[in-house]
Amino acid sequence: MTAMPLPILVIETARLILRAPHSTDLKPLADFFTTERSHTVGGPRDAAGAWDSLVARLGHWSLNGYGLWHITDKATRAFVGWTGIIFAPGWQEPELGWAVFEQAEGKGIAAEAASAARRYAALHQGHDGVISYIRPTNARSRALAHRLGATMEDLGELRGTPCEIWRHPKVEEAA
Amino acid sequence: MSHSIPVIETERLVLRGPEAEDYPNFEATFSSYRARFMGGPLNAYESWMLYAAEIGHWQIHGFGMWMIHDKQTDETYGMAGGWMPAGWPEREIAWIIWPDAAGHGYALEATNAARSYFYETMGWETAVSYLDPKNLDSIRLAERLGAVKDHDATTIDGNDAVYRHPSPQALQGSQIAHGIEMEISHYADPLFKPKGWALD
Repeated sequence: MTAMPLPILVIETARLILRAPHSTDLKPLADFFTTERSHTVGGPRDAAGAWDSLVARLGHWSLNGYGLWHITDKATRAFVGWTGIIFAPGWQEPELGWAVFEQAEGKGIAAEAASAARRYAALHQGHDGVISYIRPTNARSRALAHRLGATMEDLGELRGTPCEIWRHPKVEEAA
Repeated sequence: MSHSIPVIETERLVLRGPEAEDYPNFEATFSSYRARFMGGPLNAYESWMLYAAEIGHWQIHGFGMWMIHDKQTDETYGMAGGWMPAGWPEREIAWIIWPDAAGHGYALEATNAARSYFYETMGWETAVSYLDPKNLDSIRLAERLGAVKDHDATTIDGNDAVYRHPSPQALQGSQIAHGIEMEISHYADPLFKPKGWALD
């Protein structure tokens, strides 16, 4: 057997469990990718595109040793979004990304998940003081980046789309 | 949910799961015209994401595409195995050979081994290959593997021809199975020089 390293450890926070993407996440992921909310995070995608995204997330972990966790509600186990480090051709450096579905909006879930992922990436994956690419139109994500202590560092682009590049503090500074 | 990917050895080849160090070979082919029947040519981002998807496919389905290596040198020649992304009507047996590795029968040897694994170890009762009608090399390979065009089978999008592989029972001890073994052993014999068209 070829060893298949898929080092996706579970992270638990006060209200959330961050875990590996599962095949059962496909339906909610596909639903999200049909919404306008997805347009700032790689959407829209059709059902086939959602499947491609799901399997590529698993392969991303294998190839890079880090990647996206799926965020689930600890109480209900519902899959409500994702966060983690993304790095692929076109990225100038590994990025902390996040997205939450509409039903999880406004509860601080993205902040709770992203700060846990950021801390884990810094302590265990060698990525500290990372960037986040944010579309200038994505006011909620800009506000969250600000809340997480990140600062707008530069203007850039990601796969042909203009983006702001926000820089996160190193974890000991963010405490 | 971490699956291990089985390793398959054939006369000349070792099939292993896709690994990070094999990616440059994959990208070279998928960014080229060679990949025109597999959704390519792809840009750097698309190519990387497809390679990641090849790995994730194993995690989700428990089967997928193997990387074909030379048993002696470990050099890669292409990929072969099973493929069923969203929208595929049924499980496909697929293959791609890097352009400069074509003509040595590697696709035949690897795909035959992959099919045997799916039939004998995973219990598949049937499989198809979705082929572009213009992809003559792959159609010839499908036919050498004993697959025949299935006019009743559902296509992916109407632009592909569905070739159905012989069932495990039909293949068992058949003339086709014997012919495949003969052809592979001829390729493995350095005195044998295949004539005619370029074969994968």
